[in-house]
Amino acid sequence: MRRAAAFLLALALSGLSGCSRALLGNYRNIEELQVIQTLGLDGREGGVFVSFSTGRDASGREVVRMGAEGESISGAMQALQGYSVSGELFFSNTGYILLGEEAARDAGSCLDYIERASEIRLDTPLFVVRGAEAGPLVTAGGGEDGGITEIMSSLERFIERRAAGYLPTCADIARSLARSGAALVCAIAPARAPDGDYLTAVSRGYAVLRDGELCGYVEGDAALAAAAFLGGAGEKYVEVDGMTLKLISCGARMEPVWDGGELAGLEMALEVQASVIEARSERDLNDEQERSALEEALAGTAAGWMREVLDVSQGTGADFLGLGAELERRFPARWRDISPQWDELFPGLEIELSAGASVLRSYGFDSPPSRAGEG
Amino acid sequence: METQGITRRQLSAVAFVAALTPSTRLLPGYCAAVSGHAAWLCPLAALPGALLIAACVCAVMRRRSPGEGLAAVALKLLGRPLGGALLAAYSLWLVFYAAFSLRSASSRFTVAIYPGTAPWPFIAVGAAMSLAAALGKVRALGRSAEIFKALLVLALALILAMGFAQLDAGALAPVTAEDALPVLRGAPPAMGILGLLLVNTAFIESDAPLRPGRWAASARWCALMALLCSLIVAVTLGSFGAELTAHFDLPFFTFVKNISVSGIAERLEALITAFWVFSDFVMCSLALTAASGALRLIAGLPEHPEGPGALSHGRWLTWLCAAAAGLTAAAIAPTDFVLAEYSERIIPALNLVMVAALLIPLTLAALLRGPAPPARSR
Repeated sequence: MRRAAAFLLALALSGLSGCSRALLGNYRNIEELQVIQTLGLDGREGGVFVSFSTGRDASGREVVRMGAEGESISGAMQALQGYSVSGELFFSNTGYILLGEEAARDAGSCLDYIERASEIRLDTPLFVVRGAEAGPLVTAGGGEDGGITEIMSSLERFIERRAAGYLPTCADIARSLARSGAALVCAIAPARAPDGDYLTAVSRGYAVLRDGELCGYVEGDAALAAAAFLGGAGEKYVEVDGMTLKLISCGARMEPVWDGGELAGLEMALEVQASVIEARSERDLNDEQERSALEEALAGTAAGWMREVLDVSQGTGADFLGLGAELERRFPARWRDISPQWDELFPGLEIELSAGASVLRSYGFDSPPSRAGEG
Repeated sequence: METQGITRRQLSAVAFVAALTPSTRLLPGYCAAVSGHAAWLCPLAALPGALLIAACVCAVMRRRSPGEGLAAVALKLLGRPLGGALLAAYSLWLVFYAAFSLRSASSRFTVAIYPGTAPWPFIAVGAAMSLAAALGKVRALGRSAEIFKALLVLALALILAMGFAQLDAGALAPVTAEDALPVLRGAPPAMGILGLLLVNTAFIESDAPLRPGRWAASARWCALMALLCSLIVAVTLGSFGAELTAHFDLPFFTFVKNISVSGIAERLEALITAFWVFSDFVMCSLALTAASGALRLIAGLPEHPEGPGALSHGRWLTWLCAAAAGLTAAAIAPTDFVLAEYSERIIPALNLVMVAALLIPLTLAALLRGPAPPARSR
């Protein structure tokens, strides 16, 4: 009797599995789902425009793209669900979230939604579409044959390996906003593909959020210096003095300058290592003087990147590098005195920059024979 | 050979499995809110308090004779009127804790796996399963806890490994002397969880043989659990930072939601959340077993009834406790806001009060009776 009761009760557990139709009607057949992979959010007058794109799956199903407006993100998603004719929309596999520039002006509300949403993971990378809306990119990106998800997937790899390097997720951004009041978000921009007539996206450095609102951008190679401080720059190619160098590593560190108990300023140092991969001007890299000159030029360029980053950071009053948090970690006792005035102190803080560079190799091609007779 | 009763290893497994749910639900968020970056030290700071509770339990249980658990020792030490009243109050608390445990488990399902559903189906199934376990033999609960422990250790090892792989060590600093007070303020919930399990497992010990070395085993268990809780808080803090961790309702499970095994599984939270049902089941079954056993002793019935019959030999008390827990669970928290209030304030405070209210008079009574007789093997 007891065994039978225990068996029946254990069987009741099968009703709690997510794969069963038995209880609560939670069962969803994967073939009946539209698995959303890229989500776009745009700010509209009095509401939000939400767009999505599915990815191309192994069964060869066409990419589904759609957009709808609502008073809130959830409201727009509900409207999208109503329009969907080919299956239930499934947001749990969302791999990329794109914020149009207008939505990024109130990024805090979007992050609030993402933090609450049970479907969306916090480790999803977030992007700001610079100077444009996310909707057109999400619903038309990749043209007829492709999709925005494939574009974002290759862009993600590109940013991590060959561009700035640091690709913040929603969790990184929320954490930085909570601790430092500011954060960087990867910026992209819509562009026409050079070999076709379809819409694609290109990397455009970082967007700066302060107190959850968009307040500026870190552009070009300066993004490398920001990434170096936040987690490691990518192996980007940079042009210096007619040479193309591939960054091997780019590290940054900060030291405070104390005047008695007062914070008088900061010293920031950037250390860059690179390899020559292409030379458009003749330079014998076996010669130590020539090499030093190239290293100095690279160091000067790197210092310029850092200067640009700090100008944006201090100009907007957004401590997105987490300099305050770094001071707190290393000098907690002194930080207690500084922290109440940090927001006022930071924009005018004197920051001295230095940069060092080493050229590691030129791939066994130090004095090219093709140029042996030149000069 | 200890094949007849529940073994010390099984008791330790019961305590380990049952402790996981409150530890993961309460500690990361509470400790981060109270102690900031130093939150990961709170469970370690709870260790002296937990060891004190363990020492009290040991002092009381030295008075134990073969076949007796904490409830029987309490009646022996304090007499039937006072001991009975104390046990009755503690049993009511255990039934209430079982109700909270059922409601809290159902909330994880309604939030993580079945968003928007009502909690009562999960409460009903949980109460029924716990009733079946509480009606059965204590050693069966011990054996199942050993199996669950293996599964949960595997899941925890995966979570902690993934957590440490992506941990930002900077989020765990700075820690200075000035953090001592906040760390101590964050310690009571961890101390309460360890204390609750030390006391509750002593209730189901009547089936276990008398053996020396209780203090060393308890101290070792407390130290390991404090370390594990510290690691659980550390990986959550290392992922979200103290500020963000303090804002989430269930930061550890939010952290679990972000775990994926690249190329194999993208979302593991439903599976891992389902594993935690084992912990809820053991916690609830333990509370019902202890409460109904104590109530039977007060009523002059055998603590663990033998013989046939679903309601005979005082088994109806187990049904009554389970029904009370199920009904209370269904009514206790109509919204998650109320549940959070219970989880973060009422239950941890009540837990410490009830453990102290039970243990202090029992320890004093045990100490006043002079040295205990040496432990004998049965």
